[in-house]
Amino acid sequence: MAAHHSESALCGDASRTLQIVLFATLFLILPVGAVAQGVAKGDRIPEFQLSDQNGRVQTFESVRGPKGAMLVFYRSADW
Amino acid sequence: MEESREDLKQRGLGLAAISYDSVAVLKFFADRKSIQFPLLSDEESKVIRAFGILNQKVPQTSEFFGIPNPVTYIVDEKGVIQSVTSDEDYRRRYTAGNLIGRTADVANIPAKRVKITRSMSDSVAHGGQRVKLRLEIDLPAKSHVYAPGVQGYIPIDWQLSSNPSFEALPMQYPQSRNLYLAAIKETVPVYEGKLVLEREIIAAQKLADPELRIEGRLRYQVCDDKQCFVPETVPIVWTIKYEPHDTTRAPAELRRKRP
Repeated sequence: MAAHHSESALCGDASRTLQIVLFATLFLILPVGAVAQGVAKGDRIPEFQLSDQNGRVQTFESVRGPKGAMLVFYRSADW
Repeated sequence: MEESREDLKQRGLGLAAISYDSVAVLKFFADRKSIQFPLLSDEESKVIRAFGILNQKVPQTSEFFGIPNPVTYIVDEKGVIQSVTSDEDYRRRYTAGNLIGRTADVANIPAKRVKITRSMSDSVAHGGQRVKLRLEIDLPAKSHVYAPGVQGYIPIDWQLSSNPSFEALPMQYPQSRNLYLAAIKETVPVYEGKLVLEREIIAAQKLADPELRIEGRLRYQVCDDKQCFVPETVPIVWTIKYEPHDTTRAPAELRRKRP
């Protein structure tokens, strides 16, 4: 924002163009960042059905406790 | 993670960890580490993609293509996400205890005029894990300590001795209250009642010692409505059992093949 203020000191068209570029950049960056984050707070998680280490098929219903669950995504158990 | 399972259970939360490993790799890992909670196999990264957290920096030709970003979700019983924590790096991750506000190894620290209770999110840390240290400070009625930013008085100050076995993350003090002192006609930022201070450290990736010793000190000055007492400095130590980052690989025949 500090940079933005100093740009406003420029006069007329140059300043307006810069403002548009700055805003456009912000709007372009934000959704991309949000996508990288994946599902967000308040969203319902996608359903899943995966085998555990013992070959048992697990779903959210089978792993959750009475108040929910912690789901940890990690790189690998072998790296 | 096993260590925090009991605390998760007490909070009514289940636990599952998801990676792109095969069932055979997960079985090898779980047996070796005595892991009881479900390690789920998402070999084709379908669930990782459905969550929108496929790591896009890894090229498709890499044997590591398909890994997720390191993210931890806390989800309620209906499957609605309550919190999302993205770690900066696979080697620098929050502990489960840190994410659920676990308080392990609670101990009272002898101190003058205040009651100090020390705890931490985990009593065992692996290399690169982000552990929370916690101090609970109970002040007597009608008394206060000064908050950072105060002019002319000694603010409460929690320092950790620097040590290559951990990285201390910057400390953030809670919001203070402005107190008007009629006797001297001054308004000063203070803490009263119960004060909780928390800060995080990241355990070193490699450490020769079997434990992480974190030495700190808390400096404070207590004043009540009549007088200020002598400033105090209290040494406080956290000891965390240390386990280095595990680099043991699964047997070659079980390992993931290049695409």
